[in-house]
Amino acid sequence: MGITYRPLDISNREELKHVQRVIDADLSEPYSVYVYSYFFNQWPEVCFLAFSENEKNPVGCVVCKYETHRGTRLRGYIGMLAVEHKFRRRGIAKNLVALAIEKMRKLGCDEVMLETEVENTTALSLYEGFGFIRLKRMFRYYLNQGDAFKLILPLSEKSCTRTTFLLQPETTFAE
Amino acid sequence: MEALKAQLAHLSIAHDLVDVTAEFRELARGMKPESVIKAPSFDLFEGTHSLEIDNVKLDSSLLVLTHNEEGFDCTATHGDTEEEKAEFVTAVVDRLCRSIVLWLNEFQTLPTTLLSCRYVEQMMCRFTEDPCSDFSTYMLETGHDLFDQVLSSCVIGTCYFVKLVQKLFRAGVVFEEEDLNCNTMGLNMLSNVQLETVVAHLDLSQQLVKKSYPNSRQLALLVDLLTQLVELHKFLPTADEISAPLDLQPLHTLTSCAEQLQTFEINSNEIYRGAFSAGIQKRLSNQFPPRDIVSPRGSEYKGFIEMARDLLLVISVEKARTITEIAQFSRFFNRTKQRHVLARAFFPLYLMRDDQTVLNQYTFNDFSLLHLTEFSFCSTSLSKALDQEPDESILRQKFEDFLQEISSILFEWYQTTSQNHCRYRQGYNRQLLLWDSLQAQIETYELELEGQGVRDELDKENSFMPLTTWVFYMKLRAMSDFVLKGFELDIYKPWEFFSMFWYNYYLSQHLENNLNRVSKSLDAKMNSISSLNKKLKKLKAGEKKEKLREAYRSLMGSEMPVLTKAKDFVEYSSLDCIVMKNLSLVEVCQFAILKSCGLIDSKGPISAAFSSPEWVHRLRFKTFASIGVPELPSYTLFQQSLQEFLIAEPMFGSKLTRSINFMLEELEKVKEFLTSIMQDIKTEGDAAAATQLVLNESLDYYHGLYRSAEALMINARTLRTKVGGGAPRKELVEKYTVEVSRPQGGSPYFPVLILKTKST
Repeated sequence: MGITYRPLDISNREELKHVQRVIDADLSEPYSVYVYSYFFNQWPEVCFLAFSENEKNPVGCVVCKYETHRGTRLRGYIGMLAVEHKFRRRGIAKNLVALAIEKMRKLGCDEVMLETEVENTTALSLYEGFGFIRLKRMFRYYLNQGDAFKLILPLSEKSCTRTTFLLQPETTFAE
Repeated sequence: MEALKAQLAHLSIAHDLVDVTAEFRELARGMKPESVIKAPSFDLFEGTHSLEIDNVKLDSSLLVLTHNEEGFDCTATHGDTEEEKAEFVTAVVDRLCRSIVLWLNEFQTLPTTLLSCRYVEQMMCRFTEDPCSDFSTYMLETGHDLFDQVLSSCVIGTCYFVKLVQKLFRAGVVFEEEDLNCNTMGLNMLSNVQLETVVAHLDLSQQLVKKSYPNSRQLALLVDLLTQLVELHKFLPTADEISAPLDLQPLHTLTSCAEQLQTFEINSNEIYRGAFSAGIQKRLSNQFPPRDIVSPRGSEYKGFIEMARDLLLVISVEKARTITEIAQFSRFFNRTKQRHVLARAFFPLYLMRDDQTVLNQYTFNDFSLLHLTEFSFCSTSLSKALDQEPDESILRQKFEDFLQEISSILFEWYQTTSQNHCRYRQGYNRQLLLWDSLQAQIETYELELEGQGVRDELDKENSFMPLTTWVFYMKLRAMSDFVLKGFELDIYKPWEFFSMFWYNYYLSQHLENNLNRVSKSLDAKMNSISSLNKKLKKLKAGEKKEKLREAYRSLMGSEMPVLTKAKDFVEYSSLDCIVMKNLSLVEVCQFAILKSCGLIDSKGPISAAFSSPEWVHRLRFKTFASIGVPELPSYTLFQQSLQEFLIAEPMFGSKLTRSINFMLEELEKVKEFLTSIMQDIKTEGDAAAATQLVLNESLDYYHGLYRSAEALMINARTLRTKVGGGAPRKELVEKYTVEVSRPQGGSPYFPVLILKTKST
């Protein structure tokens, strides 16, 4: 069964609702419609959907954003990743993440960041396969009481320099 | 919309609502379609906390309550007979007490634990509406003393304890949501009620229970337990009593009550059906998604015992006789086991007080000065020069400025040691730049002083620089702790083990050198004082001899004891440092053997399309990249070092044996040093390690390292058997996989890389 991928179509409200359902079914954190709009409306170009040839609705999605971090580097962020149960173990999540990282790299991101549950070994294994490393552990980060790892993948040299040393004097003054 | 209208009607809050439809429509006309409307400061983190009407996961007004919950009546008594009424009240109070533990020890929220009690909700709602300090407006009014007096006072006692925790929490030492959830849903937790009023009310209840319900031993114990919790209010650092020794009796009585309450079986929920409910999340202003209430499991009273034990431990810091003892206390009390959240919140507040003193004994500047004195500063040229200087002199002023700067970093240092295990590591990350910047400034100051002749020689070519030496010592410890805590938190993947352990070995080497310099300087100073005695013997009687005798006596009385203790502590620290250095080296060798066999690589599975091993490496070491001294070795140097540790043909087998024998020898030394440290710690009287107040905690820590050394020895021998037989690399790779093993009782800083046979 062939899987195709494309960016989110912000004008297709039904598609958006379906993406929400796919994610809601899977993630431990309940997100409001605001959170979805926050991502979809501002950064549709870094949200990707996976379609199976016999399914009308998307079977997987990755939801991302990118913003300037502390005035020094462009940081991509993977907010949500979900694939419907029956379509798992086919590399769909891996392809979605690869598409998102590639797009963020092209957009000039210096790094990509995300958080994932310490207990979610599948997600950790997926991201660490791309070269993400665990930067820190956050105590009881999720509503389900679980700790989280903050993962970062450097896409440029800038990611490897402490923010303090990237700031220009006038930027420091302005901040 | 109809459903929403129905909900609003059901909530009966029409009188609190204002119709903003017209304004809303007017504003909406100016909005751009598809745009996100938000304040600039409203980020994703805020967004993830947003709620959504009509979404069952996010709208607590959609919670469905049972018939018992809907119909529960706080104004009536429950139970037909007196016995049943006592059973009901006991069960409710027991659940309240257990809920305190669920809230604090199990990190649950207030709405899902204490505030889920209907009596708490009713009484605190009434108090919030009319905050009367004498209880007159919000007591239960069932007409029965067990409810109106006993249950009311237990609810008040519980809420008064919440108020104490709120106050501790507001001091900002522990973190909202991760360490503690203090969301009282807008309810006023007895803000204007006095401790004495609450205690008097609980005393009255205790008398009533003992007189009228002599068989209700459990209820009497519960009232007693709540009284002790309320009494803990006296421990708050803002209270006047803080300057007087704390009365620890409430903690001992609390432990005793909890031990006795452990013997009672947990009551069935059936006794108080509807009295605990998620309904408060539906009825009151709720900023959080709906959550199920948390039911006790039965072992909650153990939680009170742990809380009391941990509070007693942190309070014992006041017995410290030296600053080194305080420093060692903070190093160990929260290291091997994360202490109770209240103990962790209390420790820095109790140590560094609002009156700008440490334990009501030292000013902050004295505290900083004594850190220096008890390590490297005693009897130095600068300390002697400062003694001669008037208070207003530039030399003294500048020195005082440095002491202030040191105080502010020490403040962070001591706060860090009481954080949860994740924040502990992050705290060191923040401090590194502070220590590094201080070291650069203080080194310049000491070089300037040397230009003015204020100089301590270490040898002909090198000066000692006592201040820089101490700052460097503190910085290296923070750096090493930051690295090793990463292993504890499972931050590093096995492919990173080489670089992290090699770097820690490198840091330990710097620390060892630094400690050797201090030791040498201390020896010189002690010898200098001792030599006065020899000079005395050579001098003829007279004024000169008397002056020298006086100087000798004075130095022997004031400086020699400090130098001796410092020397003992530095010797202990050197052993401690060598242990960490050798264990790190063994880990490096272990990794190198596995890499030599093709079983592991030092480069992770990094996608060349997006990143590179060097960027990933540099990101990992970003924290240290800006540190002036010790300079971070380049990526190339890391790679070269690994190459030097690798074993290659020819004579692979004999080289492997040599490497494993080396590891075993180093580990034997580690065990020997650890035995020596632990013997010192167990010594009655003054241990060089200054760990008298954290004897068990420090022994646990060193036992863990000892156990890790043993596990690494076993693993080294196993490696010899598994890979030393001359099997080709390909066969080994096909047969084995590398896994991280954390030996039971071992140190979390030194996990072991073991070989597991692959399942076929």
